[in-house]
Amino acid sequence: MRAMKLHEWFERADKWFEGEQAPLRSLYPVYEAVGAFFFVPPVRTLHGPLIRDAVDIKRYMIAVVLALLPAYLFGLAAFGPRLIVMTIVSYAVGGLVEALFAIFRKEEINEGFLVTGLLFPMILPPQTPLWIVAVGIAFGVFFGKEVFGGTGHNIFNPALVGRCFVALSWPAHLARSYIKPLGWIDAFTSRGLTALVDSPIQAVTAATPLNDLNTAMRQGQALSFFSPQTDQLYLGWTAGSVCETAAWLILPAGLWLCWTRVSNWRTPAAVIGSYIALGAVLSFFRPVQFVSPALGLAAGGLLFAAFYMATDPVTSPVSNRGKLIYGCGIGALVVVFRGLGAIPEGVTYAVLLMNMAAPLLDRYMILSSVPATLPRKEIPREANA
Amino acid sequence: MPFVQKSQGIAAYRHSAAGQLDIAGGLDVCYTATPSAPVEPAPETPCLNLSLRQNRQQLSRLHVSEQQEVYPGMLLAEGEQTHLYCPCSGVVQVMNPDKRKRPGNIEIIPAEEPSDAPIISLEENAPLAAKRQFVRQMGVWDSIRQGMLMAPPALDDQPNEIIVRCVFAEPGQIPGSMVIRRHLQEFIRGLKYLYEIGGSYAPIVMTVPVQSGSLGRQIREQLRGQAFVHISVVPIRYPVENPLLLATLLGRERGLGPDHFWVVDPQTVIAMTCAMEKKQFWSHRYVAIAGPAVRQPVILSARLGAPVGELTKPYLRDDVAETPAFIRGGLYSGKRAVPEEGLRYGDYAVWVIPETEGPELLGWMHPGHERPSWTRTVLSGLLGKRTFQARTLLRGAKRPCIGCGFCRQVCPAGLYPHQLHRLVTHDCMEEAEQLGLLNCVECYCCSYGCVSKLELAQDIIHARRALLHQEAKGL
Repeated sequence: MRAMKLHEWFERADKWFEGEQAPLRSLYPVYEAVGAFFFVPPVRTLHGPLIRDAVDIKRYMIAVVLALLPAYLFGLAAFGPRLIVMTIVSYAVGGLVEALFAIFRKEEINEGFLVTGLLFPMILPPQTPLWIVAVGIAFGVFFGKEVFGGTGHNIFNPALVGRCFVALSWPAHLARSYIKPLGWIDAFTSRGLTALVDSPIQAVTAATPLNDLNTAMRQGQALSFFSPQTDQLYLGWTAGSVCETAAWLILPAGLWLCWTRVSNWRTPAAVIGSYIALGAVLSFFRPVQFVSPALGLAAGGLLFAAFYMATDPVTSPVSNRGKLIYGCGIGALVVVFRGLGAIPEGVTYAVLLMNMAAPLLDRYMILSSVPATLPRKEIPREANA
Repeated sequence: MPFVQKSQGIAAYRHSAAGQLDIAGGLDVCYTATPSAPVEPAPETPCLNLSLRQNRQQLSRLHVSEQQEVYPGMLLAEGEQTHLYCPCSGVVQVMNPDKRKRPGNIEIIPAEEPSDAPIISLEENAPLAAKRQFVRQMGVWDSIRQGMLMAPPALDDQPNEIIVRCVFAEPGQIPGSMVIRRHLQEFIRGLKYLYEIGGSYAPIVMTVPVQSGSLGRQIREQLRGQAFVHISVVPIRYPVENPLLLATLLGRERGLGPDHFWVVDPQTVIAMTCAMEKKQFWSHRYVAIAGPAVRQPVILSARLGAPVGELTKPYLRDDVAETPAFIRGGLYSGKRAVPEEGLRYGDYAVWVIPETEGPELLGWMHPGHERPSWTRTVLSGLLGKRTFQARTLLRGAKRPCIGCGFCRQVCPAGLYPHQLHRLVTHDCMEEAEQLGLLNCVECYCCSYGCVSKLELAQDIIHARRALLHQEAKGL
């Protein structure tokens, strides 16, 4: 009954938004998004097949959000409720940009934003100032997606474009935003609820494990294959971006996502496989420069990127072989960036660089995999005239 | 372990260890109401509605006029390759040959007393051409398909091979086994007549399912010593019945030229026997009536042109209030039909589905224990459920393509439907042809699985047929 009343309410609101003469027609995308959220439109199929698969974009994106939840909850426990505030800011600002563009272009609001808006705060340091979150997501959605023509046309992963932008613009702010697990309790006891929105305090900041490893290796220490740090890394009890640390949660959730077929297993398998293979070889020969893959896999955002960033359907290749090459490229680039780069972490740049290669990979893979076209009679050129 | 993946030809397919053929892609979702019921005579229909569009061809040359008396086997209209014969005696009521008015058709009121039809005879040692002409007059020839074109072959056609497809994986299609079991002897004899009609010693290849059981044993026993029939095992997985796919699965060349094959259904084989032995015109064919709006699935013995609304009326559920959706043909590849529309060549099933009413609150959050999906994001995937209720619902809002690749994964022809769709909607036909537009087998799997609810198959098939048409004209 209540559902029907809600529907009647929507039907009554129709005349305000739909049609040429409707007074609020410019807000139609927002109205459509809200309506489609509550009600699956009763659209009948007119063309074959008259039956359709139960999955739509919303369900597809919600599956990704569900797979992100374990890591999100862990991040909440380890790095504090500030994550919720960051998420609200990200959804609000990013959603505003998305809605404005939809109204401007007179198109529907796309559900892909459900994932982007959640992913972005998850890959930031826990104490990132809120204004950076807002600027980052606005930049990511605008320059990462909308300027290309909206969802489905973008080349780069919007969340990573935002992350890349804030990392390049305010490196010092981000560097002092990392805290130790449960460090948020200190912040709350000293400052109360203002710690939810305040910028970080120096007292609780910590270095990420990749920073530690980098410093250790600069000092000439060769790290053994299994150091005492390994188990802590896999449990996620280290400093890092909010939700990238818990390897033991990301791995099963990501595998579940592959099992549901929402993300293709080839991409994460190729990323992890190539990282382990190349990392093992290089760290064997140059242990003072390259981290052993047993440590490097769980440190930083590699696993998170492999399962949630690289598998983004829009920015990754469609062909199966393309996915494998794309994944291998990411894994190899991460090894190179981490071992030879000036910064300890390079996953963001690796994924963004391979995003650029994805259309090209697809083009070659599709053309090479298409079976020879049907034998046809040669038509003499004169016949055309 | 032999594991060969071939990507030449239409389908990427592999030989499993047991030597069976397996389709890469395709769907194996089953819907309820695959009929296994006994055959019933079709309800009497006050008129027959014979469409002037058969086998995808317009029948433009008419041979009858209004109020003319007709008899079974009388030629009503003909097109380029297809001929339409009258299935009963009666009077032509309405002629509406204008194809712009849908449906362009001939309406016949069946007579209560069957009139005498002129007897067509066939001599024992008649030449091949005469035999073929006779088979055409008996209404059988137009149900034979010429592989690539999906149209009846010309009378002087020489096939390299004849494929008798006995496996239908599309939900709702009459199982070949059911037809063969009822008429086993006629079927076996029909194969010999088919071999005769085929001429040029074209061998017959019969497809049988992996587990064919006692019927399979019986057929093998009956066919012992008949070197012209080969039996080939295929998986029961949609769209295995597709002629183009079948030819590739069997490793045959496919082409427009003289090097080609015929595709024949079991019903046609049996009709062939009746025509050759009893000189009987093929007037009734088996049609499955199925779908959630039907009380119980049945198989009817119905005439060509019987209106789908009248045919299904006695079997509809009482609680289906409004006009339900009628589908001529199987659940995936069938077409929507108005109730007045008559059965056409190749329609072996009519599905009746209740039309979707009203919106669904938070439908995308539904656990999905009773709805199917190619992904495993619904509960039915977890429960391993295999049968579902069909509904005419798009199940979501239309959105731009996100390149999820589901269409690619289910495409049995190994194409990239989302790319093809992008190209054909931008009118880039040459690029689309490079990406294998002509290899599309028209199975509709891509539209079924599309997350963004795009009409991929509809647009691709439209473009493909336009291209084929253009080529046939030599432009």
